[in-house]
Amino acid sequence: MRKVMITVRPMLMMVLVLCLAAVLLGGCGGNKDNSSNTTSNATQGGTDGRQASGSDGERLTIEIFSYSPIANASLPPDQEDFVRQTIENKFNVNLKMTYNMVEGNDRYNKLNVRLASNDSPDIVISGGLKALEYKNNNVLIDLNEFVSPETMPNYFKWVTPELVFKRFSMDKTRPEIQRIPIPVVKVTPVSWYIRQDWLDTLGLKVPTNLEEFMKVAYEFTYSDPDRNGKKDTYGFSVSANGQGVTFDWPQWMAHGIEGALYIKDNKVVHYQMDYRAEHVLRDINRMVKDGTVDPDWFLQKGQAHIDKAVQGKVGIIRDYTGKFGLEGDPASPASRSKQVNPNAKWTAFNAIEGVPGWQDNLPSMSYVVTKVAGKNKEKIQKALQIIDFFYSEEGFLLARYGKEGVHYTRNGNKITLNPDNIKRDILDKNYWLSIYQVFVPEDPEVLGLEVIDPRLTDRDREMLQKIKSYPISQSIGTNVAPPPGVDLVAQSKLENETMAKIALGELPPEAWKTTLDKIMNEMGGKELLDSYTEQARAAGMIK
Amino acid sequence: MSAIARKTKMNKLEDAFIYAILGAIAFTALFPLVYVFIVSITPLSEVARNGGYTVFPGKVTFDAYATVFKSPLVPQALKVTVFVTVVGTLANLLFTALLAYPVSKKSLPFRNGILLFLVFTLLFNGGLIPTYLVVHATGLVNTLGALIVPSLISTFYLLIMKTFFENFPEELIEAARVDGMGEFRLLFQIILPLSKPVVATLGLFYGVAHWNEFFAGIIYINDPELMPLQVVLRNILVGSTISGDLQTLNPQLMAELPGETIKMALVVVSVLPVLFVYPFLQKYMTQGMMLGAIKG
Repeated sequence: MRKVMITVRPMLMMVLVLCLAAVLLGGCGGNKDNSSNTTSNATQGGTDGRQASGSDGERLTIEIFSYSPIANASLPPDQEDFVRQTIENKFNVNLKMTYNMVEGNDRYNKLNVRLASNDSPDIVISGGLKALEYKNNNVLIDLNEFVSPETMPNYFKWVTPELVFKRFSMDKTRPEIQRIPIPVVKVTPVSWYIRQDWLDTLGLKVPTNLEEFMKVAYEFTYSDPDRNGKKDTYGFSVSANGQGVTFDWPQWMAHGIEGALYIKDNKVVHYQMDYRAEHVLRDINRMVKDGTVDPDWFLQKGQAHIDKAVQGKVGIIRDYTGKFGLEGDPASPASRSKQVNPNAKWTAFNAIEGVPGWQDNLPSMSYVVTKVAGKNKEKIQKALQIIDFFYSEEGFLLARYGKEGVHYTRNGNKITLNPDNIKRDILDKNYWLSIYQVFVPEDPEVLGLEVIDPRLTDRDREMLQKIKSYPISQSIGTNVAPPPGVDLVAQSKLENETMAKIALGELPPEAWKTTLDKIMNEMGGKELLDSYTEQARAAGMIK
Repeated sequence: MSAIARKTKMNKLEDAFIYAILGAIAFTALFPLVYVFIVSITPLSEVARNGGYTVFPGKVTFDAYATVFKSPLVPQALKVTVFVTVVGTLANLLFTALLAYPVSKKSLPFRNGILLFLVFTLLFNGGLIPTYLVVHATGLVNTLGALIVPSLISTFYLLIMKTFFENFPEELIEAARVDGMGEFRLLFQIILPLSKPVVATLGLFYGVAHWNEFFAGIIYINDPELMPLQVVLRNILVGSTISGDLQTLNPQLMAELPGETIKMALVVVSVLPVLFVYPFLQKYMTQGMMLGAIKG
């Protein structure tokens, strides 16, 4: 028998050992150095080191499966995360936030793998369609025994029992509720904005109806409002992303379509399934033919039209964030356009005066609890208490704005922000607070608070008040799902295609009626609308 | 013209024709890559002006790359992915070689049984959930080990290596044994250095697989600091696949989308390193095409 001598060259041996060591180290827990601005961590950074099962002494570990509102946001080390500290001290828990995926299919794939392996988080934040899927697969518990105005008093300052137990229920024929809504801002600050300095140069007034709107757009395009001798400006722009025409045009409201999906006169109105769209598209096509619309309007994506407005190439746009025209906010498009042209001034206006242009908001994300997690009732009760905390005044201010005395000062009901400290501690650190902000919307008025940003000018404040005063359509009141067998995607595709073609002039406006007839009668459109109406009626929104 | 001269002229014409066609095909293959790179270095205003299509930018700017690298977690993810790729590939090659070599020897006891066992895994797979359960049970979840250990040996590449070793000239091994070499020394000092084609080829395959690691990153990693590059990049991009309906009903979502130039810069960042490494390994790859036809 040959003697087997293991003699290996030293260098190869080193490589071997290094490999094995690296593999083992890799398996030893995420102790990789955090390149984010940390000095020495007394505790391990992030959420590693917390075991999901078992407790640290007597502390429970509560895991919330959330999402990243901003791609790749990450929480700072524990010493700087004052929200976590407050919660962990107040409720004597270890808080584990699993948030590293953005909202989308990948996040649910990750969750599904965990659920199938019986490794469920305690509270899951889920979108509407996915919650329905989970409910239909019998994965969720009934939350009735945990949720009530008595057990979650702060939460019910933001939502009504009618919304939680009736309108948001996924099966209105039964009392069980498998999800509770995450509150949203009641009214989105939607508005059009127009270059006031261009109006002044051309001696025009802010438009109040469609004809005036089109005339101003015409002048903005052909009368060189920025007086630079070049025909390089356009009246209006949108970013349609190659699909449909968007809802930014005042043509919709001018012809009676006052929201994307809303209730008027006891009927459900869906902007893509309305015969009046024929007139809307005819008027959109008029503007396109006249050349008063930025020629890239159809293909450009995302914020391209806002960027063009900032660059001084477009005079009117529609914005949904409410922050467009705030000159006091250095990040707003209005401020940025001042950097391009110091004379740039924007005015917010409602293009069709007195007519609503959007509907109020419905919650769409919700909290659900899986059956696996639901076995541990004590944990779920604790978790919901933590959730409830975010809706209290203390929790709201903490998650939305930061620490009192540091990021804002308080005087009765007036909260005055400290933008410099906010920038230093939060915005410059990848805006980590946004991870906690998924729980609470930016709506201080619900708690009777008034939040003052000291950078805003008086003009800015007036602008915000004006936008608040616009009329608003009534939302459909409940999340609606298409009935089985109806192909929403195919309908939507055809609707978008036809709208785009008519707007671009490739089809006559009369083609809309033909297409809509086809969708309604042959593609299940009528079933869809009837189903929506039924669901709205079941929720008590329609008689 | 003489017959020969005419023939040469025809050949030249044919050659020119063939070059032209091949050139056009190569151009259509290369153009998308070049286009991506060009858009990534064009200022956003120019891209927006031309509706997203520029070929020769007026100005060149690296703003998009600055934004990408300043973006949260991208530098960290780059580090993570480089670490996993380098360490993971070395581990892959080491363990694959350690398994392929004994299995290639006909004198191994129970060789057929072992081979059957291995080939079985080629055809049948436990599936996603059992794999997750195993990784979870071994405590590798939320660690970099989850990206390295479960995929340590790919049966397909193992069989490639085994075949290569089988065709290794026996005389060389005999000669080494006569000199008194032990098995490990034989493997590391004689066989592997002569197996450069297969090592380089498999190294490239494993390396690219690690670099592109996406799904394992999603399901196993919870800590943002441990996310591999592709997951981080996908997080940045995913908002732009919003459907038209959602776009209209949720316009605030559109406000956070990255611009065209940033998306292109992301693509370049995720592709460039592999593109860079490949030329160095290419000569081994072409050698590797002759796998199995080794000349001692």
